[in-house]
Amino acid sequence: MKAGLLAGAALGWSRVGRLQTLVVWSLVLVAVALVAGWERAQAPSVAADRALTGAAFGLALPLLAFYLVRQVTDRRRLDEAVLEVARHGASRHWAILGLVGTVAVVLAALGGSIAAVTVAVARGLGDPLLLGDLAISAWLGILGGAAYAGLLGLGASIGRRGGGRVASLALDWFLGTGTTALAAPWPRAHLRNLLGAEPVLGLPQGAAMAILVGLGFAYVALALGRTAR
Amino acid sequence: MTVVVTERLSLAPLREISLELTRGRHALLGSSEETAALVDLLTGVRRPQRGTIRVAGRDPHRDPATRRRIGSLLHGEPPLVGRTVRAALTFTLGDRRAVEPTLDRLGLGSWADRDAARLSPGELRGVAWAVALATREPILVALWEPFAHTTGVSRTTALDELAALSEHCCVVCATSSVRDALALEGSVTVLSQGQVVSRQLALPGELAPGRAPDFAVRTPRARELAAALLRSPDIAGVEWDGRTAPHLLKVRGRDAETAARTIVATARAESVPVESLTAADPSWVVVQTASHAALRAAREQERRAPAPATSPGTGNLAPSAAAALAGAPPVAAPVAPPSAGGTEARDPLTNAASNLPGVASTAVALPGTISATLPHPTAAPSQPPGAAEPPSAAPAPVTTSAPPIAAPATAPSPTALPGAQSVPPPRPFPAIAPRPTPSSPPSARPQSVRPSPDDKENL
Repeated sequence: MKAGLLAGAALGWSRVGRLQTLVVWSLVLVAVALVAGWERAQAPSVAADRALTGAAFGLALPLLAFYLVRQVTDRRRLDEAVLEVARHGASRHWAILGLVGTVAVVLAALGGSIAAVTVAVARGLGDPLLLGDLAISAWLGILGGAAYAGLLGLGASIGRRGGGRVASLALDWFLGTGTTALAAPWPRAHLRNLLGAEPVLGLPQGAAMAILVGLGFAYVALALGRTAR
Repeated sequence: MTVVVTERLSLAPLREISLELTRGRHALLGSSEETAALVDLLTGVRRPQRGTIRVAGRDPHRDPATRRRIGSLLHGEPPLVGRTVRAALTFTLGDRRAVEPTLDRLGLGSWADRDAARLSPGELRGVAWAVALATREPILVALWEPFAHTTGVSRTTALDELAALSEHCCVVCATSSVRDALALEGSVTVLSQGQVVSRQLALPGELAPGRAPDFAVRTPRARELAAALLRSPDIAGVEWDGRTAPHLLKVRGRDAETAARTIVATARAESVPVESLTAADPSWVVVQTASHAALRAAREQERRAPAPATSPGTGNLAPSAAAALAGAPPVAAPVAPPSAGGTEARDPLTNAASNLPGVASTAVALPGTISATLPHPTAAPSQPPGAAEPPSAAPAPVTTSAPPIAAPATAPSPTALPGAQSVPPPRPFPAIAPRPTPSSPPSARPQSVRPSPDDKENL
């Protein structure tokens, strides 16, 4: 168990812990900062909310998640992505947990940083509410990043070469903006709720947070269920 | 002990593969796609669409403990995990101290500190080879094209390692090369169109009962060759039916490769032209390939040291069969002029028969399992008057129960013979016409003897 988990984590880190990831993350930070600055110039009072809902969590975080999951799976299906360790006797389940866990941690860190930069630029460093918003936004970025890692991990377990990633991203995009039961399985819907948008099924923000965490685990469990040991 | 059992295993392009592999060496011969898919299934890398697979009683795809004891070299060998080869092997083997011995085993010790990302695909396979051999307590080692697309691994070393491994586990080499399959010196399973079409259980030198390597040799001087072959300890038996197939010998060897070489060498030594040498059963890959290899070797030998054209009776294997193999223009087989001497005293069959212990005057008791009756010259009816003399380097053959000898019409087509039973009726003799003399008209030149497509197989 431990060996498989560590092997999967090491495998995941060997694929995402690269200069390329750093470059992409830097570009994304610059992009969201520019959007946040533009929003601030348009309407300073709602700039942070609009930048977070739109550019940061609506666009940058899902795309970054897509990129990282594609990198960590080496453009293969999820069970084949751990071939390097599974062929030598590691359990695929533990290896996948290590792999998806690694990308979830990385994505949480990047999501938190994206949210923090967005809020800092949109609010301005002199805003007295900056620190509180920074903390909350970073926490939401962490939750959202982990949830997207799970969702795209599940998507990567579908299709010959993990093409389900694209489908899961598209479904999140189109269905996650609603407020009906159709929007409930998608991270976007609950992230929007937490950012102050209309809630899904009228759920309170506390419930949305719990659902977001639960969705992350559920996605991974489903991905494992689709994979042999 | 049966190690691998597959039942109706299917995964494109494989269709319902049922196999049982025991401890020892096994070659899987087929297309790249077929063999790659089968190795992936055997090693548990991929899941079959249908059917089951058991390695030591367990499904390798679902059981990590079984996979731990399977060494593999895959078609789609993934990149190494780590900056250097040493780091990658430490990650894979889980023990830094095991890296050097693992690489040294295949002579790759100097690669330890190389940048893993800069390894060529062939070098990557070399490292994977080493890792496969380092499997602890292996029950199965399944290798895809172990001798091809691999850099740094000596073929001899690899074969030695596999031979050692096969003492205590099942070694499977999947390849599309007949040469590599035979080099393994194990059983050969032939795949075609996604299915098992042939399973050669008999190993060279380790033949199962009833599966001795039988060769079909087509020669215009079958009886002489039979007599000569009987003297060889590598030949278990010779069958010749002078009545229905006077130009065909069925030879049983003790070992495919040795027997094939002996047949060719004997024919050379006796100056007997060989039109074709094939497996008696065309599905016997080992025998078929040994035949081709022996003919090719003879051809090469003849190229290096061609027989003197003016020396009748020497090296006429190569000018006929070998030249035909090479697609060269027709070459007349050197033939001695008709002898005026007594035939019986110089007849090789007679000599051979008389040299064998317990030989009756009219039948030759052959060693081995094939019984054969060779008409004794003295017991055979006399040759019809007016029949042409056979063009033989040896003295004129003894009259047998074969049909009357006629002038050559066309050269026989040395296609692979399915067996002695399906031999066509005897054709006019000789198959290869006498060497034209200056007075001979151009039309007397022999037809080119063309090999069967199998003979041209690139080994």
